[in-house]
Amino acid sequence: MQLDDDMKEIFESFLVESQELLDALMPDLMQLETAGDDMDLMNRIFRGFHTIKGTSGFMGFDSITVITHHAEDLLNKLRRSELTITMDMVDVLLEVHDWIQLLVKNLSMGDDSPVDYSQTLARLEAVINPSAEKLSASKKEEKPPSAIQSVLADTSMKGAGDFTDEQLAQIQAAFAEINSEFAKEISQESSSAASHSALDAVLNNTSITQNPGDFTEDELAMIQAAFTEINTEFSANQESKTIEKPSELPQQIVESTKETTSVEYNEQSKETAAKATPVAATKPSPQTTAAKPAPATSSSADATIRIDVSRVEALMDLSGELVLGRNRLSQISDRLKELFDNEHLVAELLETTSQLDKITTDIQATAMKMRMVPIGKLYQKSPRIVRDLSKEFGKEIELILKGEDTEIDRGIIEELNDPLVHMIRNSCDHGIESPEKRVAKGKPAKGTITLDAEQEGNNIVLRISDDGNGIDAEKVKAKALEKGVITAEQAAQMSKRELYQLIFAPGFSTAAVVSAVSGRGVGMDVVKTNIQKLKGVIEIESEINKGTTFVIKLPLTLAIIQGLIVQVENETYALPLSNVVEVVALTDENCSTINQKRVIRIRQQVLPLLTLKSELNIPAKPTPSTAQYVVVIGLAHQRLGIVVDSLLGQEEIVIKSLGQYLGNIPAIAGSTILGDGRVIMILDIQELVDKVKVE
Amino acid sequence: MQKTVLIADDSMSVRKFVMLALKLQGVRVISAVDGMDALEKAAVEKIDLLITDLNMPNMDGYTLIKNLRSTTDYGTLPIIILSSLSKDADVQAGLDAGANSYLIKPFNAKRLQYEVSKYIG
Repeated sequence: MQLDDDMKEIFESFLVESQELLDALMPDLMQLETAGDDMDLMNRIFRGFHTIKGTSGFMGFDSITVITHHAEDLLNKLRRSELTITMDMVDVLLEVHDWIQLLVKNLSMGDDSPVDYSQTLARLEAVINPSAEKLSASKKEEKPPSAIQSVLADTSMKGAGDFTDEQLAQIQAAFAEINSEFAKEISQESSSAASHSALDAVLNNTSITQNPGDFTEDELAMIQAAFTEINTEFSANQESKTIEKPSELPQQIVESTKETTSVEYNEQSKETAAKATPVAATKPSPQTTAAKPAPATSSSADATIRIDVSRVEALMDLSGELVLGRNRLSQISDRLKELFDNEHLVAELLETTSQLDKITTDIQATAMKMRMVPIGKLYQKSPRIVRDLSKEFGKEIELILKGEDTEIDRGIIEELNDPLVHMIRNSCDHGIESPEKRVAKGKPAKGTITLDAEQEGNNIVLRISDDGNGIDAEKVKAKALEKGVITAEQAAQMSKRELYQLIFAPGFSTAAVVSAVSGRGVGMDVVKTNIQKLKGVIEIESEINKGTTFVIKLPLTLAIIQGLIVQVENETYALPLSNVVEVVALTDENCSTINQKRVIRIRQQVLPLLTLKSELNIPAKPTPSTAQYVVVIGLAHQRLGIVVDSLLGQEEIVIKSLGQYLGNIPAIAGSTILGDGRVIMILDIQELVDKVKVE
Repeated sequence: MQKTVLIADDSMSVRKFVMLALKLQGVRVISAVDGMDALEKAAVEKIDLLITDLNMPNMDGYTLIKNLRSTTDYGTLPIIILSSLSKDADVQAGLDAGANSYLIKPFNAKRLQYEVSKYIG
């Protein structure tokens, strides 16, 4: 695809707007199944497809135009009540949606090659005309979409002589019409004011159409100049109004965000409405968050701009650096205060530092918020997945979505997509029973899967629950033994929770029958790995025949954390404070050795101990430190005591990656710079816990 | 069936420009010199899309849109505002009045064609 600058800008709009329309269409299409007689819904869907058809036609993306055109035929018949909605129709419309989605995605990567969706077209034809599908197959007359491709769009880059005959004919016809319409005004204006611009010259030249067939060289040049002028510097200086933008500024489209008016044909209101409730796929249920009232309509959209993600990332990085600088500055100020307590300047410095401190915290929080998106975005695909799977498995499943407004870091959402899809599949496949089985168990035939998200402190907690089978810990144990994932000795010691965790082990699958969807033994381990990569934990709560809940706990952001700074011999490390449960002194009384392993007893609980000194091979000082502390670390349900020499304090730390050379050092998650300027390592809690478990 | 677009603007250059751009897109265009004129033209024949300026003599764009919207024929007519008023508040006022899109002058032909293609496929 070769596009000039103007077209590039429009192309970008096309991609963004098409994606927004597709996103909005999906929940609407899902609703169609249950609310097929909802005229507003039907009209909304029709307009969505219609707009995509129009704009893709204008852009010359025929593949999209053709398939959308066919979908529109079906929707038109539905709108006029010539057909009534069936499951098959929803299916095929979803298929069309998938194709458009694929094509738009391809376009965004610069690929405008056609795809073969003939089967979908045939299915569309079949539902539109179930009786006479053969006959009508060729009847459809296609408006050639390429014809819509405008002459203006084609010509702006061309030299005057490069117009095709067809274009010349079009241009001439256009002039003829315009000039005849304006005959009177033109004569008035051309006599009153000298026409300076090429555009005026062309528009006012009535003779240009007098010899249809051939333009002279001069005329061609003039037309070309007019087009150039039109496309580059058309300005409304004829108007008496003030023009606030210089003419070289790109024109703007401002999208309406009006939520409700009497206007039915309001594309924008539809888009916003869809955004406000990203997914409303299943029947509204009392638990589902009700459709929110229109968000402060005018102001919310007015104040919205699209920003390149990289700029937000850059701001995030810079605010991290700012935090480091701030930390350093506060430490120096404190030192100065100790040295020159009576100095007036020091007092002023301290005041300024504390001001800077507040501003820095605010900037950092603001930058972080810019990256936050509602988790509803993550939910978007799930209604479709549940719908397709329940059909495939012959199960009845209702999906309930809660906490869509909960905000989470954009980067985390992207990484969470695949695990979530897999877990939903898992719940549909293994969790929810067939309707017959459910009824036999005294449960409603229709199963329920609930997605729920909420913020708890500095964490986001995402729950995926089903009211199905539940996990049989004994079965899991037997399977794990059979597969050699654990030994009999290990199995005997494992708690229920630990047994559940086994389903995340590589190569583990409990499905009695391997289905195409889940149960290939890959997946759940990937789920866990992905979540661990995000510094999150996943836990399972389950009760046989009642259901299973996967609880995923994730940090709000990956960039800045509260750290506990600890000292071991001469070295300093940071531990993520969110993982610290408590700190206790290490004494002879509470410490003992079991099976040659050191453990600590805290309030009836025995925790394994890990000594950083030996773990990280830290050289001892000539005079070994005497005081020792145990930092109790909690990761999901696991507890571990880490032995350190002393605690230096708590600090807001910015996590810096170690780069590819040092990135894979065991037990080190990253590095940071302390307020005093020292570079220290951040310990990787997950790896430390895993290490103890293996031992 | 060929669609008909009505362009209402008191500037002849703008009317001509819009006509040229849209005719090349294969759309039929009729024009009106102000809001009142537009209202009369829309009463005479069925239009499929209105492109209107805001600041016009006799009847301004806001009033035109409100008048059209109150009719049964044009309650859902797609409307594009074409104006040099570029402040957020102006845009909001235009959309509040009932327009579907708002293009700020100066605009280019392709952008206009793109906007039109949203409503007239």
